Amino acid sequence: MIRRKWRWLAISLQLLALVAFIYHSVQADSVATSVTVGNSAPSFTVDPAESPASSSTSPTDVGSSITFTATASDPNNESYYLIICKTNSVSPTNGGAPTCPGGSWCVSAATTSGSQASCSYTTQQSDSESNDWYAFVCDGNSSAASCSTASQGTGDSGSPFKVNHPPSFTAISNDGPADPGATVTWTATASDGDLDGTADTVKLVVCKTAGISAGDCDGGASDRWCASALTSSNPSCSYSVPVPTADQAYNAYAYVVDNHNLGSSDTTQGSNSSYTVNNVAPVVSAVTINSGTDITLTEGTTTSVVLGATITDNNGCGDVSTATASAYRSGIGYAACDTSAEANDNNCYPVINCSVVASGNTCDGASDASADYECTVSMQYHADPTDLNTQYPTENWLDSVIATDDNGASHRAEVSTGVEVNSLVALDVTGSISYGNLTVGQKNDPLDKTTTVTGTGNVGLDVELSGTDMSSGSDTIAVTQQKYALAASTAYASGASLTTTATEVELNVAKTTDNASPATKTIWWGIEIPSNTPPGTYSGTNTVGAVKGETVDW
Amino acid sequence: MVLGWGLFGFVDSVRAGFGVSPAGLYHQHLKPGTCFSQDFVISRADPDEELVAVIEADLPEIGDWFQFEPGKKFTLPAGQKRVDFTIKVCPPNETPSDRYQGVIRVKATPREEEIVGVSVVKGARIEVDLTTSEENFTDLIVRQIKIGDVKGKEPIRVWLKIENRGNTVAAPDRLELEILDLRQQPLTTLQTERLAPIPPSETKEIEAQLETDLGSGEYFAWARVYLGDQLLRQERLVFQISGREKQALPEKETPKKTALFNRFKEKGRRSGFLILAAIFGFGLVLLALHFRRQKKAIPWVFPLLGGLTLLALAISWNQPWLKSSIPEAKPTPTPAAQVKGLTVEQEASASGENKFQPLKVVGQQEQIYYRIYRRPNLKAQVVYFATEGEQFQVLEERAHWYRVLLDDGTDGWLPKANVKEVNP
Repeated sequence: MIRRKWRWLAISLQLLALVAFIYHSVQADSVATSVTVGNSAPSFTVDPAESPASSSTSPTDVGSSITFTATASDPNNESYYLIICKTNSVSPTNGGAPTCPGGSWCVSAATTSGSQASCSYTTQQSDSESNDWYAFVCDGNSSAASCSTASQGTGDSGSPFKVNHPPSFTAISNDGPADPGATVTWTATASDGDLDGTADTVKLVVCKTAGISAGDCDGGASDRWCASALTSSNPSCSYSVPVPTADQAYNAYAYVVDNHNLGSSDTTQGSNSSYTVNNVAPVVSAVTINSGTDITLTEGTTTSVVLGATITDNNGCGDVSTATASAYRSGIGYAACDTSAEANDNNCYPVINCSVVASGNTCDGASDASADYECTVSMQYHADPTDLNTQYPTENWLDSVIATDDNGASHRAEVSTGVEVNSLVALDVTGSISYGNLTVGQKNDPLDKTTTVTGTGNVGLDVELSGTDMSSGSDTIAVTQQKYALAASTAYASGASLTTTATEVELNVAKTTDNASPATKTIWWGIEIPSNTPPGTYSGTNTVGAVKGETVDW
Repeated sequence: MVLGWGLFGFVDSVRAGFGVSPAGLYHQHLKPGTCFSQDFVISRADPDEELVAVIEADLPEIGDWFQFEPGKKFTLPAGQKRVDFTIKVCPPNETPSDRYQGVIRVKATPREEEIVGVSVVKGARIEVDLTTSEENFTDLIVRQIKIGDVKGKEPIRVWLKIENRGNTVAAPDRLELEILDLRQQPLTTLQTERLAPIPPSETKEIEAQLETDLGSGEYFAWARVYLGDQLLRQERLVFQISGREKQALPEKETPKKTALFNRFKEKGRRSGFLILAAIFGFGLVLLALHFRRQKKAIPWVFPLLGGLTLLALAISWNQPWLKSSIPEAKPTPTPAAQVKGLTVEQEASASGENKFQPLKVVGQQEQIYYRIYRRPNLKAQVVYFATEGEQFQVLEERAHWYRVLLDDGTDGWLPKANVKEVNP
């Protein structure tokens, strides 16, 4: 019995040993038989990424460069290549750079294991909006080159990369010319075919000088005529021409950019769609004559009368090249007093030069539209009166101011309310009366001493004659001893006696109409020395007073 | 024969002329108890010696009414061509209403000590013709209207120089100021009735102030002064406001384009939507009848058709934002002249109004001319003034000029800048 128990124990122990031995042997055979030395593919230690990262909202513009980077490690410590393929397929090359059977975006140079590799791709117009990429790292083993599996990166820096194409811009036009104060509108024929994400939009920017930057004129807001809002196609924008603005052509460079500020590459981009500001005629306002005051002339000479106006030119006050004025009696009218040939010192003073006032509302540069002007007319003493008891009592005097710009456009405005030219009753008495040596009882017969009365005002004249007794010490010769007549060869007895009382005489001196030959009339004088007049030198005063004559006698 | 008598001679010691203006003192509505003044000027063309002005009044019954300033005798200085004096007339309260006439004589005499021999003294006579009346008479004349520039928040100041020729205190009833921009587009109209009165027979400058919130800029303004319904005077003025926000020019209304209406280039676009509305409405009615007959509940299509009908009606309605996509034909800003084929025409403003139409102002005349020169030079002699709409035959063309045929058979040169249209 005991032998059988110990036999089974031994057998069990042997079986157990056998199992242990077999297990150990198996282990010992794996370590001993699995080791084989050969080339291994590199592997990514830093995932590939594109730079700059592109997305639908921030694509890479055509013509810009995308750089792909990654870091890999090669178990054999060989250099590796980073290759970006268009498809998930790569072909390692023994002793050289790998290739992509389906096309490649780029491949790096051989890079030391553990160092970052990079390669770049410049986007093309022909690229799609969205472009897949597959990154591989491959070694260039001379006999058994090997590549990793593909990696597409992650997030925006991963595949795909997005390409933004420039908008199309084929034509530009504007609706000029425009007046100052009006609007010039540019319209572009433009669109953008990119649809990835949301469809791209376009805007028009019109610049004063060539060049844009970041979707705007490179000189900033002051360099910009206008910019449109983003729109799907054919953008337009407008510029309000300020007042004043000089009449000339203005350069306007047109640019179309998309919502990513990528400008068009078409030939129309940056072309000059210049516009012209029209010349507009000046406007005359606030016309005055003698500051609205009736004109009082000066005996025998001219009187300065000031005419004024405000001239406004929406091309700028400097656009006014000449300003002239005409002053005229209302019955003459401007039409008969607008040329030098029509000048008539009685009723028409044409083409008087005007100039900007020295102080006050002057012409202050290109941003100033208005200036005050003054013109001075030298009005002759015989200019037609228009007050009561004259030839033209229902008329007055007016003036017109004419402004002409440097393109010959002109505007005339007449004063809204005229002024009177007052009657000037005036005379000059020339000549001298020498009665000569007379004895008692002697007389000038016929009356043969003359005085000449000249009209030096603007009315016809009669005269009042009066005098004083002549005296020499206490001796006198009565004033009535002097006589006068209005015709030659009048006998002394027929003459009118001079008195101390002013007596009106119908001399009928015509109204002077020509300063070169003023109207005149003659008075004949004579005296008789009464008896018992002591000898001596006698003096006295005779007064010749001007009286406004009847208009029918002017 | 008596020998040794003295030589009786007249020495022409006063050679220069002498005059007085005006030549009359007139008033037809002089109210007793009030005064009336008039200024006169004594003038001499050649004041080479000092004289004394002597005033002698020959005014039967009314001499006491008159006062003379600076007096009845005053100096006429040598070298001074014009000397002023004033005559003031004040009829007493009890003066009967009547016409009163007389004369005032003014003469220039040498100083007493200078009289040698027989002097000729010159003088002038002023006619006096006054009519007194108790009836009130109002006669205001606006001699001048001026406007000042505005700085900051100041009001607009307008000065009116007004002569009261009546016999009672009077003032204009109101001043109206219509303000326009430099394109002569109306902006606003201001008005004030606060105008100071002017005493009778006086001329005064009164100031009116008008508040405005217009921005900085330059403006035209039509100033109109009224007495009742009577327009005393109107004047176009120019003034400037500074120190404020810049005034925006009134926007010219331009219809907005929308992508939807870009498809409709005809004026009959509204009728298209009306037709659509009719179709939807008709369909709605048919469905209503059908379901009513079937006594069934209204399906969902009803509200849909109803909504489409309303939308079509709204689109065809004359709403501003749905107006025509056809931009209003903007009047082509025209150069000033069109030459035959050129026609002279006025320049059009942005809104299409003719800026240079004759003003609607009685008594004021305005006109635009376009000059035609003898040679192609703006400094050359002007041979013709063309007016708006005139046509001329072109004889020759140069870079900036047209040589045109005038009616009298001659020719002249017209600047191209003033040409509106060239007809082939």
